[in-house]
Amino acid sequence: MTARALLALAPALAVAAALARAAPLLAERPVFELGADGVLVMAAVPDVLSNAEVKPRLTSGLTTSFVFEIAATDAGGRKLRGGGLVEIRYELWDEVFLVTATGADGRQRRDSLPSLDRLVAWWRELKLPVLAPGNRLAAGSCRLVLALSVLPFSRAEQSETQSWLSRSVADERAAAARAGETPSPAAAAAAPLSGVLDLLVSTSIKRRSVVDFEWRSVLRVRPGGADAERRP
Amino acid sequence: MSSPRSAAALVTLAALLVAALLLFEVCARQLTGAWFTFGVHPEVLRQLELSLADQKRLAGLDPAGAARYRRRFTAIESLLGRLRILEYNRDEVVGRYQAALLILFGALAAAAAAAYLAAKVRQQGRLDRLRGALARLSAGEVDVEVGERRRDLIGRVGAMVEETSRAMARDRRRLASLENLAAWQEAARRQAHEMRTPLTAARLDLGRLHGLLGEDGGAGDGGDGGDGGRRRESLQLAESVLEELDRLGRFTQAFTSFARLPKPRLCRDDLGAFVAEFAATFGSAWPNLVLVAAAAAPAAPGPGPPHPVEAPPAAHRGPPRLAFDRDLLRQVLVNLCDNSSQALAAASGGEAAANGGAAVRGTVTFTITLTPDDGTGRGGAGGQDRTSPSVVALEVADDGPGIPASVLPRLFEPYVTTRRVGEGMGLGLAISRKILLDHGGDLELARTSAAGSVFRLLLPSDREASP
Repeated sequence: MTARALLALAPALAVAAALARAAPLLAERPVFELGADGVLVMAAVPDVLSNAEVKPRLTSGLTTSFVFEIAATDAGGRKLRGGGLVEIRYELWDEVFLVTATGADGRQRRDSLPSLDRLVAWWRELKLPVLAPGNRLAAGSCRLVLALSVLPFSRAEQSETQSWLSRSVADERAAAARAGETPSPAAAAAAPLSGVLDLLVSTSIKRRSVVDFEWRSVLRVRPGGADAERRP
Repeated sequence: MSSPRSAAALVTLAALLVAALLLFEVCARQLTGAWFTFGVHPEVLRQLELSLADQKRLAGLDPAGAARYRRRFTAIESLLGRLRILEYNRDEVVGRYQAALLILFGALAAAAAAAYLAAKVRQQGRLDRLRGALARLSAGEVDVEVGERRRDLIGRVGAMVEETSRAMARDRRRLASLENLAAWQEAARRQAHEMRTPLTAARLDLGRLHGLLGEDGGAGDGGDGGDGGRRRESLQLAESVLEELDRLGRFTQAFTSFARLPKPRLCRDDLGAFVAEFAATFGSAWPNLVLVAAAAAPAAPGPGPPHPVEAPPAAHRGPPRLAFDRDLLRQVLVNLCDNSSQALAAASGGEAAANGGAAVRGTVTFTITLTPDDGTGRGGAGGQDRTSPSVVALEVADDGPGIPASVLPRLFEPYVTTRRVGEGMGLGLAISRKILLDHGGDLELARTSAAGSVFRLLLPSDREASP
């Protein structure tokens, strides 16, 4: 195979790889419906908890965050954005899953689940408003794109770790100062630089997603109710 | 820095910089990654997990201490969580740290390279200035200034160029003075020669006439009074003319002396002892002068005059032994003292009258300083660390009325004098300077004012005695 042929195939291979990555979830899709107040609600969320990359995170003791982002384009061409957040933390002492689901309407739902099976069941039964109450979809065909990012820890844990890291370095210097150790001239001259380095290092802790999912759906909205979602 | 050689040097420098950065990056990657691994080693995490399990088990076994075990559990759990977050961000943290170090190292290396290049450019500029100065020097220019103040190799070479330039300037000035004086000497020799023959003939004839008049007068004393009176008058006239011819003869002799100045016969001697001896021997030669041989002074730190310290000749700390002609140098000192005495007498004529006729006495002080030659022929502290030969300066200072400014530009030229016509030929300073130039030194007027004048006799210390 020549290099030219390989180059021509490269985009196709990249697309195939992306599809293969998302392939296990393509079969299972979320269901969207309109709530009683006309708010778009995500229901029957695919079971991402059993994903090989996600499952070990659930019992790490850290708060695994599931960030939903939805982009909706209704029949009138209006583009609406929304989302939701589910946080799952395994309480190691009590050995229970503490879950918090926050919808676009701002309401939170908290639960304590004793096992992974119960957690999966809770996940499947989850109904999460993903558009703010004011964002009503116009009647007609509405295209939906739902993206899910699984983050290994929460924002609070990220901030706490960053400050712990900075504090640890500062404490180390303070301890050295308390012990009466005179910094060398080179160390004294490099003190501002080391501060910059610490800042760079502590801010390098990112909430990079473990895995990302995306689903596309079409929702037929009728005046006063929602159609079942259709495949594109 | 525009030559191909400079461009090649730049490329080499850039290549070295890149190589240093790459090497640093490799080392930093290895070191940083390793240190980070120690912090979040899987074994550490596993042990923490076991500790968590232990705390729970302990709480079960010891319900009374459950709260304590719970607190400990929470702390371990928190630490474990943080380490897991760090471990999860391992690539970002290490990468950020390495990037920061690399940027820092790169900035330092770039600063060092910039400093090196700047130094190179400065050095090139200095070399260009040095090359220009050398070119001017080789083109025959004198008094070339390189303008180098630093004491590194280029600075030292620059100083040598300046010294050479000043030495050339000094030699040219000496040569010009010598040529000028030689021309004057030749003219004096011709004048003396032209004058001496008729002068001798006139003296002989007049002497003979004087003799005849004397004989006639002795033979005819009893003659008539008219002839005797004319004879006496003729005799007086002849004597008067003879006297004038004698004075003319002395002038001719002065011409001859100037024209036939002998070459110095150099003998190594102690200049300090010589000066002290001169002051003692000639102490009473000039009634209106007191001669003082001051102690030798060190090199003057600045351009100011030396400060002689009066001391008895016995305590005189003499300079190293020098090669000089005692007779000629004595002649120079006599000339200078003559000038001082006459200037003082001329100036104190009115002053003495005001003091009721009491004579005014001045002081002539001799001070010797040993200084390295800075190329100007004057010596000076500015050249202390240079390698040029030293010169010995003998300063002759009087407290007379000073020298009129109108005379200064031509002070050392022959026939320049401030005395009245008939009282001097104006050859003393010219002869004195010629003597010093023949010694390889010089004579100069250091300063003059209403408070006195200072002449400086410069003698090289490295001259060998005449064979």
